Amino acid sequence: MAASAPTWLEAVGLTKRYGGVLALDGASVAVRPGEVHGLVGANGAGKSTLVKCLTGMVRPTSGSVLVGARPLQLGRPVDSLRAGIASVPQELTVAPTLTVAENIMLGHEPRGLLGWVRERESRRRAQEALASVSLDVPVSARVGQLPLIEQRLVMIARALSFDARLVIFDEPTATVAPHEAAVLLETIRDLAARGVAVLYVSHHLREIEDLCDSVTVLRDGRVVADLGRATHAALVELLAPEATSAQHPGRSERAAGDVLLDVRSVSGPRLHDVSLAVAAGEIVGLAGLVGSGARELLLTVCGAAPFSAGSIMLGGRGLRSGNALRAVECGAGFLPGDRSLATFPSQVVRHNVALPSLRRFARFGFVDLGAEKSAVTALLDRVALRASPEAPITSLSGGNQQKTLVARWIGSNARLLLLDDPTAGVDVASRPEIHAQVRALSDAGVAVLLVSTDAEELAELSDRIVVFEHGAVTGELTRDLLTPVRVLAAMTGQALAAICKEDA
Amino acid sequence: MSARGERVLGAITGRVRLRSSARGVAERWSLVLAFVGAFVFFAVARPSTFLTWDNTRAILDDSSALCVLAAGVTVVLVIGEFDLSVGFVAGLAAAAGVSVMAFHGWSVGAAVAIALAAGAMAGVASGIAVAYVRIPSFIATLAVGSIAAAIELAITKTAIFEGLSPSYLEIATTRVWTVPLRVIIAAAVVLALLVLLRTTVFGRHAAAVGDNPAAARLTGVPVGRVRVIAFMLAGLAAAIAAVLVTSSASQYYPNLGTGYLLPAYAAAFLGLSLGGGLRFNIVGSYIGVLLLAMVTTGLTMMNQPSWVAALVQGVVLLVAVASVSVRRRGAVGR
Repeated sequence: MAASAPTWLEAVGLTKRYGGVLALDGASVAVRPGEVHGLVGANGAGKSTLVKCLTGMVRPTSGSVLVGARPLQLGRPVDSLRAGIASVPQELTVAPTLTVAENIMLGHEPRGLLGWVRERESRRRAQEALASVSLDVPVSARVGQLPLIEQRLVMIARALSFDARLVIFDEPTATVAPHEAAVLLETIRDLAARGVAVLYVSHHLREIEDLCDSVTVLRDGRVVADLGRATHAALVELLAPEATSAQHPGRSERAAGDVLLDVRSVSGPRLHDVSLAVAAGEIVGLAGLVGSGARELLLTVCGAAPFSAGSIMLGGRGLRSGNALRAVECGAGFLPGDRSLATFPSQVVRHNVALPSLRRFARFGFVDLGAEKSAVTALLDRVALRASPEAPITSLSGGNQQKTLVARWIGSNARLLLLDDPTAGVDVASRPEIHAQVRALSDAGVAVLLVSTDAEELAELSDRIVVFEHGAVTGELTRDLLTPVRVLAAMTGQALAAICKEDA
Repeated sequence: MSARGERVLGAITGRVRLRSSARGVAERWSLVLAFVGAFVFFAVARPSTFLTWDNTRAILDDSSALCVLAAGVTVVLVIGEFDLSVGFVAGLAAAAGVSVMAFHGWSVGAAVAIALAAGAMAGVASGIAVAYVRIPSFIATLAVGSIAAAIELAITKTAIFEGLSPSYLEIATTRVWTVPLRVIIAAAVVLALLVLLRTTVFGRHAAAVGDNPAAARLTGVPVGRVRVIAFMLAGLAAAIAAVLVTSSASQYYPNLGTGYLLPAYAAAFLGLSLGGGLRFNIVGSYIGVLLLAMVTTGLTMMNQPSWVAALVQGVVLLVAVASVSVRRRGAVGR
């Protein structure tokens, strides 16, 4: 049925240039009514830029969009909305203290004389929108008091209340429990069955296989494949980076050191009974999609997130739930993927590097500037960063900022390095340098926990990879099994047994 | 401006050296320029009265309490919080110190110690409320200030106490050579807090907490302790200011500290420009206090009614903060 319907939305040759970077390079995509169209690609492949071009949040450098054969005025959110393009954002954007009806009609309330909101009409239209997602809650309920999944559905109802003909979903299942994901997917199928076009953006390839009637694959801003129904394995082949393993051999076998980090049966808001041990000198990759528990474990160990059960021992000392100070004192060093969680923007490089090791340079609480300066200079040398210790941290590129953070934790004698997407947003040249630093630290006996959305990075750096799904460990890839394709397959939800069987 | 000047300024304020565009330099030095400009203006307009050591000494002496209070407030601003209680805490400290002296015949040293303890305790209360109970500092310090005012009135029953011990009044009348002791005390407090923020581990931690509290926590900074200490220092400064005020007035009067809150913040925000618009700093706050005091005195000498001084202060503050906000927006929008 879907295939026979005429195209409703057609984007042709969309290109978006940010300075010298091509975020989107002549991408085209066509969506039909009643069709769920998947959009997949690695981080930075241009998925979000493409979506933002369609919703008017971003004006493309060139290219055009036809909606129902009429050209769409680009770069204007209001025009996109009026044309019938609505999007359901990944995060919840409800106003929790307002009612369901107020949330749904927010910004397009039916107005009466003198601008009064026509309450009855507003509630009636909210009711209609709720019916279209089969959600049965009173429109007068406060949204903040609904379960999360119902808040999600309210947001979908809101998108539909704009008379949307195309609804864009960006990773809708990333942060919800499995049974809630099933509800969302069912809702999306219903929408399509009623003739709405759906653009479905996800890393979760198994969902794409189950749900999507057609799939567009992006890489480096270009469309590399336009498929009908696609299998998980086929998508992995398309998404996996070209084999570069010849240039980057995996790590060689080495004798394991003593256990440094011992995570036992830890449960928390997003973790269920996770156990894991990391030896000194070992690099353990944590693979999984957003919300799978991989990043959550990292945040729990570094004290940025709480845990409610189980124990975490670091170097023989117990860590406390949500206590980052204790984790640092026990020798943990955290490099967050979002560098705004690590840098101090109005301070110089020296202050940024020395912060966790100040007490070593201090006498009676006074910082010995001479000792601090020579230590920081030596640390910057060690990470091969040619920048003045007195330069503002914000004057450095992303890659160089990341190197200062590595220097920070070398300086504090960290025994456990917690890396979250260490090369995201980092220039191409800095990437191998940062990898070399991590390897060197590991060779010197530092234990490393690595979370990355980049399968190639995980395969290159890790000694072994622990796979997460729905907050629990689902398996492990040992060194002999580490290839980017297998890692990508595992982290996008393919069962490990299947991955290993294929190769056998 | 010379590169050396930039370095000296950077050394004073601990500021990152900004790109030395002409506009940035002008903005950076705007407070100093305003200070010098106002000084020259009044010196030319009233050379025989304004441009005298007696007048300079009087301005420094009269603003000594505000200098101390502004320096304390600046420490809290550096960690990215507000302390609205300092005026009330000064009143409480004054009441506590003066009443043990007047009613119980305690010595001057003991009375000052009681005043300082009262100020520090009020600061610690605010600090704990902000750091561990996680109440926004605006609300927490408003509440602590209200409680401090209540205790003050409970102690003093809104009475005015006179007849303080002569040796207590000497705090305000003693001169070292020709410099009033109050000016020296204020300068010492300002210098101590400057050294604390610029050269100690606590100072680095405070700047980190003010700059990015989440990152500070994840980098192993004891964020809670830093916050409590910062509020305690502000409370202590308020108590020292209270001693300077009561010794000079030779009496305790109810709510003596409330008039100091707004000028202290005005001074600190004026000083922000010296920190490149990004960082509150002790030296900037000090110059801010002196600028406000000088403008008030100068306009009085020119026989302007008192509302003119208030008006000029308000306009100066608006212009200073507006230029800083414009710069901040520019930095974000880049």
